[in-house]
Amino acid sequence: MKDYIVVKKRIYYDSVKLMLVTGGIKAMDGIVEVAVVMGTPLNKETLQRTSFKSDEIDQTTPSDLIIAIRANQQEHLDNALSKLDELLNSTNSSSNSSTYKPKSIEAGQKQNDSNICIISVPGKYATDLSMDALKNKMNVLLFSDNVSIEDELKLKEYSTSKNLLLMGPDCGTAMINGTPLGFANKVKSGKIGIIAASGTGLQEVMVLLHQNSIGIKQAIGTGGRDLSEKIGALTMLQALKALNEDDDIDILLIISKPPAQKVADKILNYVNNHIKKPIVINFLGDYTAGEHADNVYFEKYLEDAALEVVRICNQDAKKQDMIKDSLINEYATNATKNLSIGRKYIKGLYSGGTLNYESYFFMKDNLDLYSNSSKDPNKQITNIYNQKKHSMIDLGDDKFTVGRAHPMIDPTLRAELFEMELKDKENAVIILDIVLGYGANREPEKAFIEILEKNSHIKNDRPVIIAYVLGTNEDPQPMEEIIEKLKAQGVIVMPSNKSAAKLGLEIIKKLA
Amino acid sequence: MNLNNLLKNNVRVLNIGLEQFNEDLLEQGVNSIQMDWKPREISDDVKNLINFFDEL
Repeated sequence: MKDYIVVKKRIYYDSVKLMLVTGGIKAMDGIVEVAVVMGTPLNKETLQRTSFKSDEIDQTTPSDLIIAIRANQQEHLDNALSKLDELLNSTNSSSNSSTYKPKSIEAGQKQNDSNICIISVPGKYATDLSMDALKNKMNVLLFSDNVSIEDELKLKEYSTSKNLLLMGPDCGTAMINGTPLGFANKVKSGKIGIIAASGTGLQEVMVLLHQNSIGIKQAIGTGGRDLSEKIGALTMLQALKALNEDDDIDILLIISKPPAQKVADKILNYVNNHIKKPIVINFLGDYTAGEHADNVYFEKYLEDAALEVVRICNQDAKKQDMIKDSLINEYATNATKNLSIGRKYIKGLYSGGTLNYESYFFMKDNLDLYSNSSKDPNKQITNIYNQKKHSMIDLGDDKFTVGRAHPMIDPTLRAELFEMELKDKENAVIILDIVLGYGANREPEKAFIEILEKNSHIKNDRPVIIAYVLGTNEDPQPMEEIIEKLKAQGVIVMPSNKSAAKLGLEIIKKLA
Repeated sequence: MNLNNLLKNNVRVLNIGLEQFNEDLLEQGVNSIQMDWKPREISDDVKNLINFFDEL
């Protein structure tokens, strides 16, 4: 076995580029392990687990590039090293040499009169770039995370004072005038306006509306902290006012993980005093709504919020169920039959933060459940590699994305955990979200299918695997094909995040 | 362009960072360009100088 480890100081490649380079080398003959990553603490920890060790790696900083390759023979290593330079220097179609790329925001703005700037650079550079874009009168979708709340406040005070929109930080999804931005699914255009402090929450609701033939005109992301006391819903209130004044929008929908009570009350007060259109509010969690007008509808879960909009559009008296409890019970009974004695834990491995939170919220009163989404310090997960307990993990959390692409783009870390949990004989259920759409990995199921194929010898003695495939049949990924591939591996595919959580919980209850 | 006008117009995008976002927009026929961006490491001396001028 031959190891090659080299560190290149002060050189930058974005995390998606490095993921593609790693994948390209990994697919070569005779390559056992490979990591081409920036020297962040998380990446260094991952390298240690694959037993790549050197003093040079220990001394790297997040601005350094680590190249670590393990090959069967010297010949394989030589081939990989020749390919490495080619992959690192390759360009894609938007960056080929014939396409001029402006070097400043001013030059870019002049080139196509841009009215929106999408920023997805490491967090420490994102604030200055966002302010620069705002000062050039552009609206901003700030995808980057790891931006301080103080910087967020500074940016939002400036943007709202100029009536410019600042979506984010950590805003993954938006749709402006029917154009999906960031992580977004291709959905029908229509008359719904959504404002969301939640990326995958917004995606799920858009997808469920699309599946019910209801279209969306605007979907504005605010970033997950907009409804904190410190930010005070600056973007949400600005967006509510704008969408209320838009005559092409008939129904409004608000989505957020649990807001600060004071901020939620402030929003409700605004809604009561200014909004006359029907408005559905989904504050995921234990929010108790105060007095509100007849045009305001509260829902606790994403699926219910989407179905409430469907009910209002169709003028139905009663909201339809997505999947009946009796059917979930039947699925649970069948799934439980094949589980061996000793299997008891449920593990959620999510790429979507809101999806993870919703599942956590759905189950927490019935199980001793741990999650990095929990606000209770006693229910936090301390070590994702060693948890002998029920847990829901959001792998898109800031701490897992420093120097690494979001798990909706780079499945590596989630796939590693999936394989570990799959082999654990105490696990009864694993839940995965598979998110399709623009921005996301074009083969989001592939890593998991490969692991299931590799471990086919334990097919009859493994946890029940439940997946929620979030997507539409118009997305760039072939949704039906992906669902069929998962089913062929014995995965149970559910039609919503809540239904996946409900089935998981039902199985655990039957085992108790 | 302020928010109310943005909501009435087609988006024209300047993308900084992950090139996949630009690729996806071009695939949909959206007017989008990619900025040539690389992080700049600023030394402490330069940072102090910037702070000095900011305070003036």
